[in-house]
Amino acid sequence: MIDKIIKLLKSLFLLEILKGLSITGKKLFTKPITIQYPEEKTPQSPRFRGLHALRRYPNGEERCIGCKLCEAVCPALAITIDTEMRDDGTRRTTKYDIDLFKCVYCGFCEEACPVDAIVETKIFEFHFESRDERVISKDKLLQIGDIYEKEEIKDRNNIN
Amino acid sequence: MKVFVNNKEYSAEPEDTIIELCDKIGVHIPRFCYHKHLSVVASCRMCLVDIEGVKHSQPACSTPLREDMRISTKSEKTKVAQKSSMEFLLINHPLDCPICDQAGECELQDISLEHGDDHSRYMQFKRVVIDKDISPLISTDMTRCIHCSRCVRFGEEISNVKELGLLNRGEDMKIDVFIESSVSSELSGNMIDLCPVGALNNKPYRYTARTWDLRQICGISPHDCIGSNINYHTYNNKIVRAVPSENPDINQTWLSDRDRFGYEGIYSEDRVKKSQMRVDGKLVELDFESTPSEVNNLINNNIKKYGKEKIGCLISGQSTSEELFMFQKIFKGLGVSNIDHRTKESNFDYQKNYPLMPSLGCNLEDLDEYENIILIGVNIKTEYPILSIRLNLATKNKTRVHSFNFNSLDENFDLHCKKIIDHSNIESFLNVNNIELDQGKTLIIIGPSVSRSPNQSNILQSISKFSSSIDAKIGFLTESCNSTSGWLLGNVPHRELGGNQSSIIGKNSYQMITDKLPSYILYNLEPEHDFFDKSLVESALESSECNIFFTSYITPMIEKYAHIIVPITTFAEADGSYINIEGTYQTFRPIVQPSKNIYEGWSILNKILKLNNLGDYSVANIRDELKKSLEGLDFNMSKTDMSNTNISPYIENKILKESYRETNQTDLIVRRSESLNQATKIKNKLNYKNMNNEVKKSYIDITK
Repeated sequence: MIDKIIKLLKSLFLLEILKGLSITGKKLFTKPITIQYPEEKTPQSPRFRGLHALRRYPNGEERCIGCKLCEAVCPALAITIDTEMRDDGTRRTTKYDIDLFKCVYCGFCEEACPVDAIVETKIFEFHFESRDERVISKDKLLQIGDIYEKEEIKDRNNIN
Repeated sequence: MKVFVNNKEYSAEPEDTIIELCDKIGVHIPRFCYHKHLSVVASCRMCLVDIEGVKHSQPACSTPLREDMRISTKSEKTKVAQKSSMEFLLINHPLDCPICDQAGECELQDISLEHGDDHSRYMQFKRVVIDKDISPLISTDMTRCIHCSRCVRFGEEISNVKELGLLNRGEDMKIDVFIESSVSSELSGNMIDLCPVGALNNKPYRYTARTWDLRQICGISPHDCIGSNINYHTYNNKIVRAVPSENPDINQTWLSDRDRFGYEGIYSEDRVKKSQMRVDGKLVELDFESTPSEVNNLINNNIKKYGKEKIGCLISGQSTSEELFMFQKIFKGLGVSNIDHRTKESNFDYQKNYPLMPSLGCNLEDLDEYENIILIGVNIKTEYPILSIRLNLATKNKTRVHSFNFNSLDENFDLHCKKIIDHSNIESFLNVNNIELDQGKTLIIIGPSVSRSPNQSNILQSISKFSSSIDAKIGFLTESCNSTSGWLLGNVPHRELGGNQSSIIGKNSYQMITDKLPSYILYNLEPEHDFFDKSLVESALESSECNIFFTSYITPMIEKYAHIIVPITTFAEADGSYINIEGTYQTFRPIVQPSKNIYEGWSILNKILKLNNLGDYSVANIRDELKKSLEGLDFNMSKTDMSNTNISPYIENKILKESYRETNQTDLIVRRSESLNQATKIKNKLNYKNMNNEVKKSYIDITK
C-alpha cells in the first residue's frame, strides 16, 4: 500500500526526469568527449594494426625474403605469395598480394615475420572505388612502407 | 631373443641393432647419420639411448642387441644426452630456416624442436663455408652442413661414384668435391633426399615453393622399364619437384636423376596447345569438340580410299597401358593389322618366337642370387641407373657381372669383364671358353642396344643358343617404360590382346616405313628421334598423303608433314598404368590437370572407338578388361627359346652411333628437360677431359 503511494508521488513530481536532467545539466558545463572527425582524431596506440606495408632496409633493399610464414599463419588466407631466385641468388617474392576484404587485421603476419618486413601501420582510413582494388600488390605495399617508414620506426621505439 | 624397450618386452632378431628394432616396433629415436640402406658410422650422436647396466649412453645405430637388454629411450639420462648432442650440432648451423628450402621437412628442425633446447649458450662466431657450384641439379649451402656424411657414404656404397668427400678435420671439416670435378652421376639427386638439413638441395626447385604448400601425388616413372615409384609435389597445379616413394620391391628409397628431373619436359614450350588440321597447305586450329569426329572421318576415309593394309599405325612404348589397349582396339577393330610399338627396331625375324612379353626373368631383389649376370648391349649406368644400385650390391655380394656391349662405356659397379663386341661375330663370341663363368645360376640380360641392331634376330638367336648350352635364364631390358604392355596388349602386328597369334600378320614398323604407305597414324612419337632412321621416316612421311599425329609436342617434322595434329596428355596429366619389366602392374592418377584444349590420351581414343561403335570404356572398364585378358598367362621366362628363328644374313652396318643413347635422350619428355640436358652437357665435358686419346676418338664417334 505504502509502496504504491510512493510510486504515485514519484511520478507526480517527475522525479526521474529531474534526475536525468541533472546529468544533462552537469555535462553542459564539462568538457565534451565528442571529437570533430575528420578535423579531430582520437589518439592511437603505437601497437595499432591498420593498413599493411612492406618495409625496406636503410640501403633501399626490400626486407621481405619470401619465407611465406605470414601466408602460412594468416587465419583469413588473405596473403598470396610467389617466390623465385633473384639474379643475385637471394630468395625474393615475385608476388605479394594482400586481400584487404579477407584480412581481419589480427597482426599475426607482423608477428610471424622473421625480418620485420610486413607491418601493419596506423593508417585506418582507406577506401576502394572498385572491388578489384581490394587486393594490394607488392609495389603498393612497398610504396606505403616508404611513406610511413619514419612513423613505423617511431612506433617501434615507443613500444620497446 | 627378449629385450625390453621402455620397460616393455619385445622379441628381437639377434643380428639387429637397437635402432633397427626401434624402427620395427615404432619407437622413435632421433637420428641424422643413420640411414637404413647405408653403413653405420655413429658420428652424429643423436641416437644416444640409455642402457641399463652401462654407464654412458650408447648410440642406438651401432649397438647390437643382447639378451635381456633394458633400453630406455625416454629416461632423463637419454634426454640430457640428446639435448647436449643437439646443442653441439646447432653451434655452427645458421638460423636461416626462413629462406631454406628444407624448412618444414628438415630433420634438424624437427629434432631440435623435439629434443633441443630453446636457447643457445654459444655466443662466438659461427663457421661459414664457401659454396661451390657442384652440379646443375644440386644446390649447395655448405654452411648448413652437420657432417652426417650420408652423401659421402651414398657415393661410396650405393652409387659407387666417389664424388663427395669429407675434407680436413675438426672445425675445418667440410664436405666438398675433389679437385676440379663435379657431382655428375646418374643417381646424384638422391643426395638431396639423404641430406637431413638444407646443405644439399634441389636446384631447379630452389625457392619456388615451401614444403607446406605442396600437394603430393604418387606417380610411376615413365622413363625406364623399372617403374620406379615417384611422389610428385605440385604447387598451383604445377609439378615443382619429384621425390622417391619408397617401394622395397622396385626402387627402395632411391630415384635416378632422370626420374627426378624428367618431369620438366612436360612444361616445354613446344607442347601442342590446340588441335590443328591442314587446310590448303596450312595448319589451322580445330574446335575441341569437333576434333574426334574429324580424326575419325579421316581414318575411315583413308581405310576406304587406300585399303586396310595400306594404313600404318605406330604407337610409342611410353604410352600408358590404357592408351595401348584403346589404340589396338580401334585399329584391330577396323581391320587394320599394321600396328607396332617397336619403332626403334629394324629387324623383326625374331618376332614369331619371341616370348609373350619381354621380362627381366626374375624379380629385381633376386638379382643378387645369380652367380653370373651377363649384360649384352646395355649400359646400366646411363640407361637404367636405378638398376645399377641393385647390381652394385650384387657384385659386392658374390655375383660376377660381365658386360658385352657394342661400345666402350663404363659402369658404376665392378665388372668381372668388359668386352666390346661386334655385330657380326657375336655367335662365335658367345662361347663358354670366352666367358669366365662361376659355378651356379646365370642370367643373361639383353639390352636395348641389341633391339636397335639391324642384326637383332641373329643376335637373339645366338644368345638363345648360348643360354640353353649353359642353362641360363634370359631377361630383357626394354627400350621404353611400357614395352611390356605393348607386347601383351597386342600392339605388335602378329599378336592379339593377351598374346594370341593373329590370323593376319600385318606389317612391322620397319616394313611400314620402308613400304611408304599412303597414310600413317603416329601416337606419342617424335619422328626425329623415336625411329631407327630419321631420313627413312622423313621420306615415308613426305610421300604419304595423310599423316595423323597424336602428340604432346610439336616438332618441325610434325609441323611439316601432319595432316591433323591432336594434342594429348603426357603421363602426368591423365590416369594411366604401366607394366614394368618384372611384370608388376602399377596404376597412377593424374598429377596435374591438363590445360583446356588437350585431350586425355585414352579418352580421345575412346571417343573414336565410340564413333565406330566398337565399344565405350571408362578407365575402370579398361583396367578390368586388361586384367581379364591377362589372367592365366604364363610369364615364366625360362621358356624363352628363340633358337629356331629363320633369319636373314648379317647386315654390315655401322650402327655404333644409334646404339648409344644418352641418359637424357631416351624419350620425348626427358629430351625436353632443361636441367637434365645441362647436367649431361657438363658430364660429357668432364668425361671427355678425363679420357685418354683413343677413347676420346671413339667417344666423338658415339656422341656426334
